[in-house]
Formats: sequence, C-alpha cells, structure tokens
Amino acid sequence: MGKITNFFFSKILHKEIHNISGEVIGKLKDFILDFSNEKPFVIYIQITNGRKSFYLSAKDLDISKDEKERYYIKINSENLVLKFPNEEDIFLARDFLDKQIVDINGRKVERVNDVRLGNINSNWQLVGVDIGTRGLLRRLGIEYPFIKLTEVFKYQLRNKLIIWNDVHTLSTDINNLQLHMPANKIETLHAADIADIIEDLDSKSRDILFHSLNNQKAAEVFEEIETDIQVNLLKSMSDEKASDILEIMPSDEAADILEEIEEDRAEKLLTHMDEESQDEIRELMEYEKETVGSIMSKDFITFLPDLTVRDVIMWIKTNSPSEEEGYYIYITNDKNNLMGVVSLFSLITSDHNTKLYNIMTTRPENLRDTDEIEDAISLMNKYNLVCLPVIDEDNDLVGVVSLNDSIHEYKRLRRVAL
Amino acid sequence: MKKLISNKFKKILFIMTIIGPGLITVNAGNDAGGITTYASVGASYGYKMLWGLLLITFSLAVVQEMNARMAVVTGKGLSDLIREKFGVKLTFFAMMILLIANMGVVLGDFAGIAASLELFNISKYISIPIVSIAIWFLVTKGSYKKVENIFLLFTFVFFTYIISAFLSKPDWGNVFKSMATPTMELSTGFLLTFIGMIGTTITPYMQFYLQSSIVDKKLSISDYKYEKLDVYLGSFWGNAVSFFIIVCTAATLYKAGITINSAQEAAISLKPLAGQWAFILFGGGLFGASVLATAVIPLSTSYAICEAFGWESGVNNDYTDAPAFFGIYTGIIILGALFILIPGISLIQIILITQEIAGILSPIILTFMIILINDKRIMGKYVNNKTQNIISWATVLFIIILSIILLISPLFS
Repeated sequence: MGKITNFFFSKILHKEIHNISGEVIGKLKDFILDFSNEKPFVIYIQITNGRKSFYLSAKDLDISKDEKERYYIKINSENLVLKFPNEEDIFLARDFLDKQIVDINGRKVERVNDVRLGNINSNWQLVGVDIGTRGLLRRLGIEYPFIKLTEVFKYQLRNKLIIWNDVHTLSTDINNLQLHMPANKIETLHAADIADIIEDLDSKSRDILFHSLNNQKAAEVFEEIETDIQVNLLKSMSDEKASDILEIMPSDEAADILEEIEEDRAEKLLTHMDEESQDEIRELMEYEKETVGSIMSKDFITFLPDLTVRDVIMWIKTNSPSEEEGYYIYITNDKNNLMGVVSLFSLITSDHNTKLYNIMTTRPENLRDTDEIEDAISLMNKYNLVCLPVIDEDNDLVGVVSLNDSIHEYKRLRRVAL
Repeated sequence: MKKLISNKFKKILFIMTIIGPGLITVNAGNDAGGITTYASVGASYGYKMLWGLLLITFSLAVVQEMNARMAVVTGKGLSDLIREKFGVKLTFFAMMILLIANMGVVLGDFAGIAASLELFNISKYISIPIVSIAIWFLVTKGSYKKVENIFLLFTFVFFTYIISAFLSKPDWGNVFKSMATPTMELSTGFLLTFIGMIGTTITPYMQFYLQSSIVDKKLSISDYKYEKLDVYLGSFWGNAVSFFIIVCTAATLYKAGITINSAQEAAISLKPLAGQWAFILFGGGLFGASVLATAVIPLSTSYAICEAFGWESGVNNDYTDAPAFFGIYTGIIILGALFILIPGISLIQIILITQEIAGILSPIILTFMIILINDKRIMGKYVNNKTQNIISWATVLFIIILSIILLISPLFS
C-alpha cells in the first residue's frame, strides 16, 4: 500500500475515514474548497457518522491505495481541527459534481462526471474535471469490467479531462462564487462563442455568466444571442446595466431588441441613454420590420466633396472608426443629400491632394429606407458590394446597410415565417 | 390608437402562446394507450372506476403544476435536475425506469397504428414498416413540425366522444353517484385495469416532456401565473375527454356485455353518433394519436437520457456528433416496430399491458420529483406547500398500495 499524490474524487467519496490510530471516524461526505487562490484547494472535509455530520481540517489528509485499487483514507494528526458550517462554504460534491461547467478550450457546456485532485505544495488542489464516459462508468462502479470489454473490441476507453485552467464554473446555488473567481477566463473567447454557450445554458446560469462579463464584452455577446433569450436576459437586468449595454451596441441592433420588449420598459431604458443614441434608436424603431430602415446602421462616414484625400485619411487616423464603417466614405452636399461614394481602396491609391469629387462614384447605387431587405441583398449581389447607402424621401443620407446584417436579418425573418 | 390595439393583441397572443403547449400535451397524451385503456375501463367495468378518474385528475393537476414550477424556477429539464441532485447511480436507475416505461408506451402506440389501420384492412406487415420509417425520417430530418398539426387534427376526433356520450343516453344519476362512491374489486383484472388507467393518465414520459417543453418556452417567473392556468386547464380538460370516453363505452359496450378485444369493438361505442362511419372515425383518431405519440416519445426519451449524462443531443446534430442521441431514438423505434410484427400477438392486449407497466413504474419518477421540488437549494421559496405535498405523496402511496395488493391478491383467491 502506497501513498498517492493524485486521485479521482469519486474513488474516495462515501468511503470510510480513519484517524491516526486507525479507527474509523465516519464516512467522507464532501470537501469544502478554498476559492481565494487561482487554483482552489481542499481546506475542510465533511464527514458523516450515522446521522451526525462534522467538519475537519484537510491539512493532514493522507490517501493511499493498494495494488487492488482499494483506497485507504486517514487523517494523520493528533489534534483534529474542527470547523463550524457556514452558509458561504463552497462544496465539491454539492456544488460541482454532476453540475454544468464551461470548457473554455472546447467552447462548450459540459457536465462534471468526476473531479481529479492532486497534492501540490501539500495542499489537495483541483487539477481537472472529467467529462467523459469513463468518468460515468467509474461513478457507476463498473469502470474496469467495461475497460476489459472494450479491449476485446480493440478500443481504448480514455479519460476525458479538462484541466482546471480551462474550466469556467457555473454553479448556480452559491451566489458568492463568482466573486471568488479569478480573472474572468470566459472573456478570452470570441463573442459569438460565448453567445453559443449562453444559449446552451439554463436561465439561471445564463444570467450568472452574462452578468460576469464587462459591459463592452457583454454588448458584443448580446448582439449574437437569439432574440427570445435576449429578451429574457433583459428582464433580469437592472435598467442601468441594460441601457449601458444597449448604448454600446450598434443602434439598429438595439432598436430590434427594444421592439421585442414591453413598451414601458423600452421607454425607460431609452431615457437612461445619452441623447444621441436615444434619437437614433427611436428613429430606427419607427420603421416596419422587413424594411431596410429597420436594420440600417447609423454609423457611417460622410465628407463634403471639395475636401482632399489627405483630409479624409487624417480624419480616419485620428478618429479610428470601426472596420465595417470604413469600407466606404460617403460624399454629401451641405444639405446632407447623397452625391457620391469613395471606396477605401480608391482613397489609398489616389494622390493625397486629389479632391474627393474627382474620385467619387457619382449617383451610387442606393436604397430607400422603405425598401425591403430582399432588395438590399439582390442589389448588393448584383453590383458586388458589401455595403449600400440608404436615403429617405428627401434624398437625405440616413444610414448604411451591410451585406452581413441583411443576410442575418433575412434568415431570421425566413425562420419566423416557417 | 393603432399602437394600442396592436399592444393588446400582442398581449393576447403572448398569453395564447403560453397556454397552448399544455393543452396540446394533454391532447397528445390521449394516445392509443389512453383511448384504449379508458374504453376498456368503461366496457369492462361500467362506471365503477369514475371515482378513481376524478381523484387522479387532481393528482395529475398537482403533478403537472410541479413540473411547470420546476421548469420556470430552475430553467432546467427534469433529468438535468435528477442528475444534479441524485448523482450518477440514482440517475442511471431513474433513466432505466423511464426507458422501460417509455418503451412500453411506444409499443402501445405502434400497436395503435397497426390496429387503427387494420380497421381499413391494411395489414400490419405493410403499415408498421412504412409508418415507422416515415416517422424516423420526418423527425430526424426536421420536417416533423410541419406535419405535426395534421396528426393533431386527427385526434380532434376524440372530442366526438363527448357528443356520442350524450347520444348514448347514459344514466347520469348513476354516473355522478359512481363518481362520489369509491368501489373496489379485489380481482386481478380490476386492479390491473385501474393501475392501467392511472398509468396512462400520469405517464412518466409526460413529466419529462412537459417540463422540457415549458423550459423551451423560456418563461420568467412573472409569467408563471398564465402557465399555471394552462397546466390546470390542460389536466382537467384532458381528463374530461377521458371521462366521456368511459361514460360512452359504459353506456354502449358494458350494457351490451362486450369487452374490448380489438379496435373494432372499441369503435362500436361511437355508433350512436356516427352509425356505420364509427369505424372510420375511430380508426382515424386512433391513427393520428398513435403517430403523434410515436414521433414524440422516442425523441423525448432520447433527449432526457442524453441530458442526464451530458451527451450531445438534438436533431440538428450529425449522427457522428450525437451517436447516443440518435442511437437511443432509432433503437426505440426499431424495437417497437419489430415487436409489433411478431405474428399472432393481440394488439389491444399489448396496449393495455404497457399502460399497466407505466402505472406501476410511475411512483418512482414521482418520488424523484417530490424530493426535488421540496429542496430549498433548488426551488428557493417555490417549494411545495402542504396541500401539494399531501396530494402528491398520497398519489405515490396509493399506486404503490394498489401494486402490492395486485401482487398478493392471487394468494387470497
């Protein structure tokens, strides 16, 4: 029989625990974890003896096993440090085992079948989480017979472990757990991936995960989430947080969402925002669903025709607009009527002293705000464009529509119709 | 003004979308097993079991409300909750029970497909392979939702039992007296039929299915009052149809001394309304109800099991991404279809026996549910109140006691 330095939690759960003189003092019920470090470790052991339950320090916990995989658990100390239970304690079996976690590396929601612990710096740390079928079989107590069986078929049943660094916990029963989490690992993922994960979760975990994001990331993620889940997340958000996030989002997306929720709440959220976003969103909300106006973006760049290429490039350098905004520069007269368009490409290839009216495409392809989204797609398809300007009845430039947004919305509408 | 109207309309639409699924679930719950069992209750024992139906209507309402509450409060399916609370071993046990019970119900519904089409002189050796392959494709290729409503329309046939019940001129005084006076026969036949009636009303699969479908609606706790209404309405409405089936068959078949051994005999009870069209009406209804159930139950079983063990699930996945999901789904359909193809078995007997198995197994799933819903860590302040606990535990005990009596009754006779 030899001491071991790492083990699967299920191997010792509900097993007998011995004191230093080898007497059985009870059965192992659970571990209490210290979450204040990057790597959580076991600080107390919950032990049950009949109906009684008590907590001992995990400091001198020794675990050994013999060649037949039989485990022997011993607390190797004369004085047993007792602890009184606390509401805020975080338990391994109660709060993690069988619950869902996010695998940051695999970008998926998984269920914890087992937990691997290792002795590092004389602490029992959480090393990894087992999400595989072998973990399930181990819990059922039929791991080894099954391995023998699969060997007959020349198949090796491997453990599927996620190392603790790639685990984002979701435990919903403990409210203070999020505070204990070190740097938010989940924010390293792409917004679209986080959105997928959020859609896979139940409503409570969804709220917890979403609220753990900073506002900037939250806005990016929110944009990518399905509409009905967006509406639900909004319901559980404070007015302040909700309007902050909506303000960061592109105004066309924000308008879409606000149209889906109750009018009173939408109004309340709008009044929390700054004047400019408010006006933009209100304007967009006026448009009918299938129209170009309802999905157009209010973020676009306009210049007067007699400015030079240098002026534009200087402006772009100082203001650094988003990539999507910068594909085209729109040329308007002083009444904001659309006159022409200059592509980023022709800006780069032209001489810096050229006036814009010399290089602009006059009477560019454009859309009316009341046109249908289908028109936008077929026009962009026909002329091979990624973006089109939108004008209103007075010929004023009021927005731009991107191919990406058009297709996204078109697909969504088609889905609803089906 | 326009805005005002559209807002009101939105609100009504919203309430309707909340209320819809419960009613649909109950209607789909009156599957081949349900129809046949209720018909045989009326045909073999007249009004004698109506008191039982009345009692389990309350049980059903309480149980389904528990499902709805768990769905809204936790946002999780029943098998998710079982796994998180009870660990792998007990979850494995619960899933085995669910699998056996559901396998039985699916068998019953395949038998229903075969029996209904035999009314139109189509042999089961032709109907079963064609229908089971068609269902498999419709569901896995995602086009099932489009045809679901057609089969749902078929099941509206069973509302004609209400008219038929009145036309058959039952002794209403006797009907209401039977509802208020519990009678019990200690014969194996009576006990089995009684358990079958419970089993088909409080089917284990229904609890999983209902809870998942409410989770899918993504309701918040503030919308819960509508959902509650929906669930209660659904339970009472569903059992009202059952009530009329029993009354109708009691007034026609029981009076004439006909017990149900085939779909033909079951259809006779619709004669007061439909005359010689009764066979077509009954056959159509039975077919629609059976197809609905065979499409829904294997799928919901597969979802529940995969959810519990954390396996990839959903018809949008590839077979290679979700082998367990498609394996379980396909396995249930193939096994069910093959069993029905065994020459010489009695289809009606299969339907009745599978409901009895579901009845005997139902207390196990109910027990899991009651423990879950009383857990403050899971439900917070939304745990069961005293009345709900009394009714749900009484239901469990009642079924267990019936099963025990059933087991030992041969010793006394």
